Amino acid sequence: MATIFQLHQVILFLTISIGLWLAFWVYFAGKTKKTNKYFFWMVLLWLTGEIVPYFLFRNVLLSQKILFFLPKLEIAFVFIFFIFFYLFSINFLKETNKFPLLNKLIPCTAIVGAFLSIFTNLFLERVELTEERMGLNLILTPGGKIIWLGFVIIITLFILSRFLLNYFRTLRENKLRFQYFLIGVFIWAIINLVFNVYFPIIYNTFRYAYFGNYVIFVFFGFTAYAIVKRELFGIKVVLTALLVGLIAILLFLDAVLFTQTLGIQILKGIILVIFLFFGYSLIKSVLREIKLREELGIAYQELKKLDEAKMEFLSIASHQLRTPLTVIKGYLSMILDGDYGKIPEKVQEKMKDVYLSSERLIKLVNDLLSATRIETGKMELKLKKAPIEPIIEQAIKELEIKVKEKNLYLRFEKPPKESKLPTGQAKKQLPEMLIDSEKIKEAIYNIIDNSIRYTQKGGITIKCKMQNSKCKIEVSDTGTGLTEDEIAKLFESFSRGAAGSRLYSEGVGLGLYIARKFIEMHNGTIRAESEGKGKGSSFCIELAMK
Amino acid sequence: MKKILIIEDEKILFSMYKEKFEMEGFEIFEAKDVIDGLKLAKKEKPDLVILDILLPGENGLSFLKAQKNEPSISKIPIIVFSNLDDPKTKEKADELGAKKYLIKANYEPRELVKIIKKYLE
Repeated sequence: MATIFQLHQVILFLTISIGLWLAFWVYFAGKTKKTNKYFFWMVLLWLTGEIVPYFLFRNVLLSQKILFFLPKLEIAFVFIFFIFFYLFSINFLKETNKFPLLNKLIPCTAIVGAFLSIFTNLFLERVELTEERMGLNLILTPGGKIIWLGFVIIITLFILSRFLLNYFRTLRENKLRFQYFLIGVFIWAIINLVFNVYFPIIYNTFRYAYFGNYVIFVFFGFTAYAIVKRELFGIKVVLTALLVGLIAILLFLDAVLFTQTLGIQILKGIILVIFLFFGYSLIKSVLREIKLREELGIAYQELKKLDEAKMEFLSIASHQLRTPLTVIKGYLSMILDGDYGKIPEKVQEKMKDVYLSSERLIKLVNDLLSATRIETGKMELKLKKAPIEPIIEQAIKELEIKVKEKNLYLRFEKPPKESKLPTGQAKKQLPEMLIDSEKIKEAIYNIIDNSIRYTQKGGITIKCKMQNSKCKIEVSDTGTGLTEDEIAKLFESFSRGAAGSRLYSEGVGLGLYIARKFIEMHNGTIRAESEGKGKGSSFCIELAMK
Repeated sequence: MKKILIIEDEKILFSMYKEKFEMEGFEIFEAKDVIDGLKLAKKEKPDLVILDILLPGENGLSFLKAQKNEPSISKIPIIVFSNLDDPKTKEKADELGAKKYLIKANYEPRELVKIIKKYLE
């Protein structure tokens, strides 16, 4: 009997120390936070509930009255403890506002229960002196059992359900805190249920109750850690460490307690060492993986910041470039318009060239801005229902001057107006589509512009029709044509080195890249075809009808 | 004679537009920032405002905001005319009631005249 008590005392002392340390650790980590305060009181209450019986029951010569009274206190204490357990959990979950009724009801019920258990005999039937459990065995009334355990289980289940519900809703960082709490509660609940609930009820014995009581510090420990630490190790690491530790302990106990032969003991010892080694490297690798993932996350954030900086720089740079270009373009066009009087033919010719050069520069700045915006994903579509024909006609109009300069033709072959329907209405050949008109216009403009650049004589023809419920636009020219190689690299941006293969230094090769991107943003496709050098080329755009 | 207020801080650009518009028979008023612009707008009650975005002090968007809350000038059509091609700014200007957002470098003065004539009718 003496040895059992001494073991009890050692364990008791340990748990009180750990408990006090946890309570104060959490308290000082956040004196102002309600969560921390409730945790502190929760642990302190538990400790009181454990200390009092142990120290007092050692003296079995206490008067009968006190002997009967103290166990009642113990039952009452469970009620009070659960008040703080509830309050703490609700605060931890930040759900204090969700259950205003329960926030009042639970403490009230608990206080009533505590009151009744102390001042009446509703809960405690009798007390037995035994050798187990510090000499006292509490026998509860049947009704008492149900109410007391019912109270405990209902609140625990409620708290657990709130945790599980919130778990799936919170962000990753919070998830870790919840995981810690859940693991702690889970371990505690299981062991407690077995030793403090199942055994007492089925076998009427509290003999193993202390087991369940001590395990609460697993729960407290996990929870405290989750509250205090900002950076938690992933739950994987903790579980792995726990598992490794557990197996190591079992292996050790097995080798020490249950093995007879020294030879086999040594063998088991070696196995234990090997196991520990592998367990350690396993944990290390898990930690490394976590660190790598974190670093990846940081690198990604840096990249995003870099993109932002790129965009901002480009916006400002393009603005600065555009201002002087605006002045050049503006005055040139006014001079060419005759706003400052008549100018000699020769001068006019040259002014036109200067004007076209400034236009090229402006287009270049626009294209650079667009291309960067596309590449950093900042290009957005503004979709609106619009007919496609006016868009093509607008693009053509903007290129009229250029084709005239080169003496080329630029034809738009509209689809023939279909014959009238039986009702006498003319069938609209090209219905409206959901598109970003500006971008489609720019795409078509860029393609025609490209064709103009590579055509010396003849001209460009644009066709448009409906085919297989898709809108098909074809731009064909009588120009220099393309090789297979060139077709492959045609729609890449110059940053991929494709423009190096182009012989002409005019243009930077961005026009077709942007055209392709704009069309692809509409879930369309663009294709280039050519029968070879000198045989012209044709570009085919397909846009899905929406 | 229709009155146009141009809020633009680049002198060289301003004189170009002023010249063109005066050739077309408009009366031009000049402001170099939002504060001056608001003062002038309240004083002269122009028929149209041409607004730059990148200005000293507050940017052009704050002119749009202030104009909305000033009943004496809230009905004047405003065309944003800037070389800043930023989708977010465009959206904001649109929300704040700008009639159009034009990139200066993409328009010749003659084309600009055509557009403002439309909004002056």
